[in-house]
Amino acid sequence: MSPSRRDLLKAQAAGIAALAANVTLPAGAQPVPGGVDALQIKWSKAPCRFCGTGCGVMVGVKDGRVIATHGDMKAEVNRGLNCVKGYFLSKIMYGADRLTRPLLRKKNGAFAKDGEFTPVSWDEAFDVMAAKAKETLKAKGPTALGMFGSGQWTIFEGYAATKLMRAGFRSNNLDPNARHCMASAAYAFMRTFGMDEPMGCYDDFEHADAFVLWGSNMAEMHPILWTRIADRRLGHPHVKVAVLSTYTQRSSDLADIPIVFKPGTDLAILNYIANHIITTGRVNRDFVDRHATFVKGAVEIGYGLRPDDPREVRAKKAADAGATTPIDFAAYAAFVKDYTLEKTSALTGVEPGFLRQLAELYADPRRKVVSLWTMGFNQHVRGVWANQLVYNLHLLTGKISEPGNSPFSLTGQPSACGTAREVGTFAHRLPADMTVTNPEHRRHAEEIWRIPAGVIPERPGYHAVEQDRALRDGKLNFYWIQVNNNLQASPNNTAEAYPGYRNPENFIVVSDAYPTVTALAADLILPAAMWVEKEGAYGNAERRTHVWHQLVAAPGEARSDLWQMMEFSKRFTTDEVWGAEILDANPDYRGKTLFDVLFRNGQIDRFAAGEVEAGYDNAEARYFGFYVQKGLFEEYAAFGRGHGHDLAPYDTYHAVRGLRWPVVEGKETLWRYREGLDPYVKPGRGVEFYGNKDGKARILAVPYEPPAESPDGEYDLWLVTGRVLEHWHSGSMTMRVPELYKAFTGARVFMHPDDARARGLNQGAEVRVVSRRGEMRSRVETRGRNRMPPGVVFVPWFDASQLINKVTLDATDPISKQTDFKKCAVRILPVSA
Amino acid sequence: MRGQDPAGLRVTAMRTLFALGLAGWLALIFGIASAQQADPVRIVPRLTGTAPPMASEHIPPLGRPIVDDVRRMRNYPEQPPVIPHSIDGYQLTLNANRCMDCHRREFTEGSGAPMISVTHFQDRDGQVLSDVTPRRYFCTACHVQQTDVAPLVPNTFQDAHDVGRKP
Amino acid sequence: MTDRVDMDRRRFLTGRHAVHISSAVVVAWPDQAAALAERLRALPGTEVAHVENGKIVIVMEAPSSGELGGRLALIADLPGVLAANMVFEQRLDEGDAA
Repeated sequence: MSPSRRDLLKAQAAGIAALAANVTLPAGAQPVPGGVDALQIKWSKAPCRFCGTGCGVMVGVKDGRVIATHGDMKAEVNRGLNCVKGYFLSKIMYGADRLTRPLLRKKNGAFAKDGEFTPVSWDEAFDVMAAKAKETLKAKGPTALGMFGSGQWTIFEGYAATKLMRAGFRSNNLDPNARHCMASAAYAFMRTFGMDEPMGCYDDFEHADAFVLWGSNMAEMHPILWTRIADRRLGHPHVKVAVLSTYTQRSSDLADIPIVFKPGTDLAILNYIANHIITTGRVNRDFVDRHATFVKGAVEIGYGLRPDDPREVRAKKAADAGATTPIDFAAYAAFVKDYTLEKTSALTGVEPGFLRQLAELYADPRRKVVSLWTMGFNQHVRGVWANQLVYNLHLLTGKISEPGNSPFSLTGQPSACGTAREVGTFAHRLPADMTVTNPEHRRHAEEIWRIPAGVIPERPGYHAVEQDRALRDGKLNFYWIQVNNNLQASPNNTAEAYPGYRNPENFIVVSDAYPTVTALAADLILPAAMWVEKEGAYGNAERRTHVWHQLVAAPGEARSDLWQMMEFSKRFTTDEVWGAEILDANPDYRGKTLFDVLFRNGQIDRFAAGEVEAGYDNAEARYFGFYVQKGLFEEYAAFGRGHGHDLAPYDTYHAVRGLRWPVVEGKETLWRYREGLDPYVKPGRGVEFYGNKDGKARILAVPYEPPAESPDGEYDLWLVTGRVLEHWHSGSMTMRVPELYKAFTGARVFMHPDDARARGLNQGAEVRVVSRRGEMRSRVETRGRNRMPPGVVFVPWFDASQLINKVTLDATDPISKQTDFKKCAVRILPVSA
Repeated sequence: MRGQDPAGLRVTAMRTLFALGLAGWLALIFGIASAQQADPVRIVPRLTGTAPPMASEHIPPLGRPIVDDVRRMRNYPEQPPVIPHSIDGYQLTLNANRCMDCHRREFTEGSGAPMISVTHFQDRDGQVLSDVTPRRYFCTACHVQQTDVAPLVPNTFQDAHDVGRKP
Repeated sequence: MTDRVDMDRRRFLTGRHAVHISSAVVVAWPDQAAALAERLRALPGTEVAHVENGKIVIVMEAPSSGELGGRLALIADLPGVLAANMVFEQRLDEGDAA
């Protein structure tokens, strides 16, 4: 046995014990052959690469390689804990098939749509790409050019993208995959409070007396937040946990009130609870009178399908789905009166006893309640309604904006809030909650960006599902996808996205670290740097902005998405993209490159490369000659400072484990809208929802409406899709970590044993999952972690060899345009041998 | 999409690749870096489908859980150890924690199982409790069982021991 | 402590020999810590990595996990010891060590 191996392990063992004992091991005390240098690990902080929880991790680097990671004891979010994915972050960058060179489809030495992927230089890649973009601009204008980004972009990258697309190419066809993830939550925030993102924060968990999970499986999807809830529940016996889901899952294991309801009927449960609060006289009238108004929403609003779908033709209000009309409390009370216990129990399939217990958690004025939700609500054809109906419950009882009383929308991506929402990468948004349709907002953005008036286009661009359709229809011809696996994630991709990508009229570029299905369906693949291979910033679900340094170099010729966008912008001059009218009025801008006007604009380039903290590399600063990230951040921060979105000076974030905005006079804000906790509330107001001009929140009256598709005689099962603990989203990172792969090797069809038996299927049998759109193959699981009720099957979507989105329906919430991945009809057939 | 033209992709099935042997496969992957400008690249393993991106292929059976009870070396000391035995049917609920029947300090002598580490006794504020802290109650958030299958894609992660050492 | 090596289940199953390495924190009365550390050093396969404020960080080696546990139990019974907690344990197989 090698003594050095053993000695090394002993030194590590001593180091860990010292850490546990809170003592510092003097260097001399370490029994290390060859001196301590051989063991030297440089530890730096970073947020986790995966979900929206935003755990802090410490990353150990030795000789330019990440060799270990562990939970950051100083990070408030997780205090030293990580979930199994987080503990294996060290390995996500080291899959053997990392992309290291640009790959272009070529035939006979030139680009060809049906060519084979061939390594090319960055110059050649950008040459072809710029030529394609210019061709498209010339033929059809900026509306034929689009980009699909992500809540995994760093804040700088999202900000650079929104500038490049809106101010550079003058196209609003920019949408993030967050559209599939939390668009419903974002719209509901805007419609209820006039301002995006939660009023509370994770500190609510340590103050609550009850937790209600609405269609969320936090035990698997937000495991570290679940540790905080488990801590609270197990340590305080009076605390109650209610878990609502369409099947029994791991979160149900902690539930005092486990509820399994029929898909889509959560809307009825929400209205029943409101009715219960009203009929038992527990409305907080004082709060409601001072801080809320009532509106009634348009109904029969359709399902966001293609306009010629019969369901859209039938829908009366599809064109104006978001319309509301003011009503009063009496009208609202009369509206929810229909949702009696009996009727709701019959519709939802939930035992009346559980429904009453659940309603009491909200109604009881002595109980502080945190409501939590993610995809169950957001991926819902009535997702905005569902979000708003839960706000109704908190507003009716005044249980909001104070420690322990909190409606809390969780997020699935590390920077869904920070990048997709705050930076404004949605097709209709600008930074700091502003929209492209508002002329004042456009003007304000043009001023901060130092570009001529009128550059930012007014019309919102294509949203995610619309982009797929426009690609297939040949209306969107140049398309750039960064940091996400769009094709795997896209609903009904057999009919929409895939034919769109392979449409000969279109040129598809994918920037990624690994060869995903999306990359393989593209025409040009650009190798991307990931996570700590670049300096970054993420914003988590509790408004926390968290920054990290570049810790290692990207492999081969891989470059960050930021570098790719900035470098690409050098290939366009204003004359090619802005049009004569704008340049005639602003001749100073003539002949400049987009790089000059967007990034070397006197603001973003004002911090020297030398300002990067000593001891850390920064590939972008080194290449462009200025501290790109700091410049972008400070320009971006100008949007929010003084407007309720204040960010601290950039350098501060390198020193702390993130801060929750608004950061006013150096202090973060934990709870918004309440006097004494939020500096933006005017003295004497008590509570002020200052996002709305009247300072009040909206309570919305809307009914239960059925899903777009329900099981029938032919397609007799509900299909619900989702995730598992061990794999994150499309699995492109976690499937390459052997331990995580071996922990959950592939997708499977979770189904009730009786449903399996009725079809002659045994545990593990190979099956076809078939819908009206397409089919995929999988294996039956009747014993696993998800226990399905009869009639419902669950299939996770992380497995690239089992694309469940070939089967799903591209129905969306008509207000938020977010896809419903949770409800469609399928049948399960055996694969004959 | 099955049976359609694979849109110019030259994707090789993982099964074939295993037959080629790992070394050959790695050469294939890293060959990207050294390949001649004109040579098309062959990608990719089963992770992205065995054929065209949208193909429906035969799905291999679910792997069998590893139950040999042999502890696996950790990649680094902070890594939670994986579970080398079956946990099928284990109750891990509000009322029962089957894992603790063997791994709780008081029971390790009889069970021979490793005791939960001392970090598991510390609460969120670092105070040491007499039993497992509630925040660590749900073991499977960090500790996972393993299946008897080969990794889909080799991982080039290097042990700290092997980094920066000259032979 | 004897030199007898217990046959454990794992070794029986695998037929492989291994060394188990573990670390522990021993908490002692601060005034007795130094003397105690000397005693610990004298134990077979036991090294003292650090002593501070009554906390002694030790590293132990043994052919089996059970022996490590037994040794720690013995340490916990020594006079002056307030607590002895194992922090880390790792097994090294002959094959792994190369």
